[in-house]
Amino acid sequence: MPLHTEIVEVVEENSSVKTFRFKFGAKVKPGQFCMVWDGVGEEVPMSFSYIGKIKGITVKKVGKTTELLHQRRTGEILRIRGPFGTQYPIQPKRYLLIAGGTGIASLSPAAEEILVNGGSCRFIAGFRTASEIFFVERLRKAGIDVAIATDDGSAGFKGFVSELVKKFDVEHFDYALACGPLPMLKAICRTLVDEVETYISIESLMKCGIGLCDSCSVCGFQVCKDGPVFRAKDLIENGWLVE
Amino acid sequence: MVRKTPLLAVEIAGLQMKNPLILASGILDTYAETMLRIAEHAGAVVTKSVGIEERKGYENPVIFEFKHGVLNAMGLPNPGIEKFGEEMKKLRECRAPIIGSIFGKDEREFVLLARKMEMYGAAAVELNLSCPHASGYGMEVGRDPVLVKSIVSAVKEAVKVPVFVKLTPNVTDIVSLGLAAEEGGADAVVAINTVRGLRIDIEFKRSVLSAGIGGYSGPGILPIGLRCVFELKRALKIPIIGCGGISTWENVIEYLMAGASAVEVGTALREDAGLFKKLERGVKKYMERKGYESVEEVVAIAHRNR
Ligand SMILES: Cc1cc2nc3c(=O)[nH]c(=O)nc-3n(C[C@H](O)[C@H](O)[C@H](O)COP(=O)(O)O)c2cc1C
Ligand code: FES
Repeated sequence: MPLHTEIVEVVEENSSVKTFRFKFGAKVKPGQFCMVWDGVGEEVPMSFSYIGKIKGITVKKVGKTTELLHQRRTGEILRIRGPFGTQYPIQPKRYLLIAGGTGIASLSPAAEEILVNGGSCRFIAGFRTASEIFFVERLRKAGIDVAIATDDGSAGFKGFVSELVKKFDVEHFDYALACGPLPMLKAICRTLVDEVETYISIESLMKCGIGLCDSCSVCGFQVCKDGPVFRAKDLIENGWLVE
Repeated sequence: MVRKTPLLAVEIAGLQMKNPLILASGILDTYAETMLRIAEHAGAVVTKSVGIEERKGYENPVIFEFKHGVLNAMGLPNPGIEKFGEEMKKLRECRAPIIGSIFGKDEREFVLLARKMEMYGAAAVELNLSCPHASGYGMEVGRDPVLVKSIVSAVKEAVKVPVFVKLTPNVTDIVSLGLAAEEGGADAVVAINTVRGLRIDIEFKRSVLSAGIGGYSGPGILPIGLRCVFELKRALKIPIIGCGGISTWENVIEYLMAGASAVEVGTALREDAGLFKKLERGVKKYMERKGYESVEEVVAIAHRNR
């Protein structure tokens, strides 16, 4: 059943990204998503970027609907369906987390949960440019070591996260978790999948969000139900990396 | 080879199915990979309804879930018949029959689509004359018995594969539509498609769907589907495929007893991807317990016992 909730806080993360915080009673696991509707634009899938008592979603302005969402203010209403989908595996193990762009929104709660559960994590976050960096302070405050990559070299490593990853000693990790644009995920998988147990979170067009309509499918799996978090090997065995 | 269960095997218009359980159109059937997975346990699979051109469907929200079922107005999103050929090609390896669902605005479109589906290897075509929310299509064509009859007979002349006609319950007299389909030469009718319905979002003060009115499916429409099948069985000679609200094996038996020779299952799959296997097991156990030797023996029993 969908739930209407008041926005309790809006945080401007950078010039094109805002976080909306709201109360939502259900327990949410890291990696899960919801369908968000403001009653004006389209209903869209969003990862939970905060999963504590006050939940959050983090929205990048990319089109008409997200522009409308960005106009929403504290006190206004959102309709939330969810939580939907699978979660990242969280264990007292050693993790390498790799985020591209807004992928950091879905991976940040995972990082925090890993620490709470006695695991450790290193974080690699890629952005286009230094002014787009967000959530990194949040992670560093939690005691997580974050390496940054920017496409233009304005902060940290100059280049893609998929390049920066190659500089890491993968054998030091039990799990790699990645979220970001599809080409990045594929590049990461090609590098990592034989070395470390890799999980990825895939973004996809979603209509029903509940595993009915088949609009979100990749190689026979429904991203909304069997994903968005997949064990990379399961996808690859079904032809995901074949061009 | 996996041993089939002959107890549940049925034949409808020449289609051999290992059980009477069919995947309904529009549910997990846009991509070949998804259909192949479901076909492992289903007797047959109906594809998403495909039209001439690619359609994106309506803007989100297109779905609303609540206690008694689901309201949807997808707006017939589909890749168009040309592109859908790629999925059909991948389905050639499928052991269960694939039934190609099509929607058009007139005879000419239906004929063209049916021919394509036949060429692609569909074991039958299902004419969607019943979608409740796409303007110019579906029930807007399918609630007029004269149109139904002429479309069905045009398609019958154009293809050799069996022609199924999916009927809308959103009319005062579904039997007249069933009779029209039969007179047109249909090999079977499917009853029912979704029931027109509406929910209002009282915070946003508007329909919960971008399209406004939608189609209601799931457990809440079970009695309506059963009633339609019951009424149709009294009037028609051709087989009836029941659809609407099935979520348990008991519901399947109900449909058989009301007069369905097979059933289609849709909405209930959202909760349980392994549903077909469970339904198959439940129906089989019931039949064994009651001493039936074939599904046919169960069909329309409720008409005799009153
Ligand atoms: C999301 C959704 C999409 C559907 N799309 C189609 C379609 O393309 N063609 C069609 O003939 N029926 C379509 N239907 C109707 C179903 O095939 C079925 O007739 C109806 O849902 C009732 O069965 P159920 O209660 O088991 O779902 C759709 C139903 C749903 C819920
Ligand atoms: S969005 Fe409908 S099946 Fe995933």
